[in-house]
Amino acid sequence: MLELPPAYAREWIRYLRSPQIFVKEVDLAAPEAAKLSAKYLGFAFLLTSAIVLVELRLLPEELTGPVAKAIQKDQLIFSYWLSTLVFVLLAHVASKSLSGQGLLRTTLAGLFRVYSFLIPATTLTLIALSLIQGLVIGNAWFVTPPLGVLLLEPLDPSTAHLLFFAAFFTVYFYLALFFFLCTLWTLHEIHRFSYVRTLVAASSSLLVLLLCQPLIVFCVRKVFDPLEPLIKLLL
Amino acid sequence: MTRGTRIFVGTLAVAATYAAAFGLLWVRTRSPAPPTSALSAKDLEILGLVDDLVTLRVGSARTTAQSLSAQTSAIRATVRAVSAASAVYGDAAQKLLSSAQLALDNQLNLEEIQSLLVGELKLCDLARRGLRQGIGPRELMGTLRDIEQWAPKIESLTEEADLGIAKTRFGLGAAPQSLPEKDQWESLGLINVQQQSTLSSQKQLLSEIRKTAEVLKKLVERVHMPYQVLRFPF
Repeated sequence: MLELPPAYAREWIRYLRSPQIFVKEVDLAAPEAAKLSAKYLGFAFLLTSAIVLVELRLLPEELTGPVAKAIQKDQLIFSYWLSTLVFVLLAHVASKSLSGQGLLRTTLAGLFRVYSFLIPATTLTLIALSLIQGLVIGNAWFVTPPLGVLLLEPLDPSTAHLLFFAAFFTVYFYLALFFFLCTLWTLHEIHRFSYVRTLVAASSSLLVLLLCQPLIVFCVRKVFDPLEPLIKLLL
Repeated sequence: MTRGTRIFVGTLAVAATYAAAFGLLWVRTRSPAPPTSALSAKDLEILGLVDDLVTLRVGSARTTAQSLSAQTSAIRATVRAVSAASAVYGDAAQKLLSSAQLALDNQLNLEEIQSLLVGELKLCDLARRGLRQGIGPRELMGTLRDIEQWAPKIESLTEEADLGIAKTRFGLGAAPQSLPEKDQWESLGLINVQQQSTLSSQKQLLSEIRKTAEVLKKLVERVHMPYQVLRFPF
């Protein structure tokens, strides 16, 4: 267990340097690959949850209440992990229906590994940007993993502020694009079909996931609502 | 594609995205409609009750503050009268003057508490009006936080006043009730009873203010739920 964080960190840096080459080089079909990916995903979940809790502590005190309510309403800290699992399964089904060659084990190994690296990275990047934004503009934003931003106050419509916000949203757009491209590269590598089919598989999976989102939130709430007092204690 | 071309195309893409983002934000923030809070029918009903309560209490608290001020003047007059007639009252004059002075101190405490309560009610009024007008959550929560921060101070003052009034009551009870100063003792006794009643009302008012602040806080949290700006992919 103690070897997990350093191994994770090494692979994390390696992945972020060249994501497309990483998925080509790693043997995702190996039997232990899926297990390792699951461990990395678990570690990433703990890491991201810790990051978000620290972020909550940095919020102005008078805004912690509204944020906590919003998080609880859609279970924003926990539901995306279940959504990740559902998306990976949907992506595999969609890929197989488009003549993909990968096994379920390989899809799980590949996408779990990729998301275990991407989710903490995008969360940290957005938190850093929102902190810079908070220092420069003064608006309070709250970042939810993997790529969510909650606006807690109205946007100041002055030109200077809009120029700054536009820069933030541009970075966000390219982060989201990078996230999507990493998914495409991984699916393409696992299922060995054309990029057009990969795009169709990923897009259709996302669409189905969006339709299932309310059900996912409902299930997560059923699990985590009893834990609410503990979460409030941590908040 | 050469490296230079790639850099050029990349820069162009980023610039186009930035321009599009700025344009979208510009259009969104130039909406002519003023910001209004999203109050549901139930929230409006609760807020209506809060409106009535706060308006009523602000009015009555101000009236009470004015009558306390008038009572303070009357007690000061009593203190002066006792002081002037000390030769007539003989040995009992010192005890009478001391009790009158305590009554005056208690009255001044009650005035201070009342003025703070009026201040708290004004903050409640500000918060409820802000909620209706769609003022941002940070300002509203800040106002409610001020109410919360002042409440313990007022509570501590009410405890001091309670002690002072009890001490005065004890002093009045132990004092000789003989002529010629009997009227003055009775008058001080009545003042003490009135002060006790005022303090009791002030404690109740403080409790109501705390409950109102809690209700307003819950409304602010419900109404000013942060709306999600961006979310991808899940």
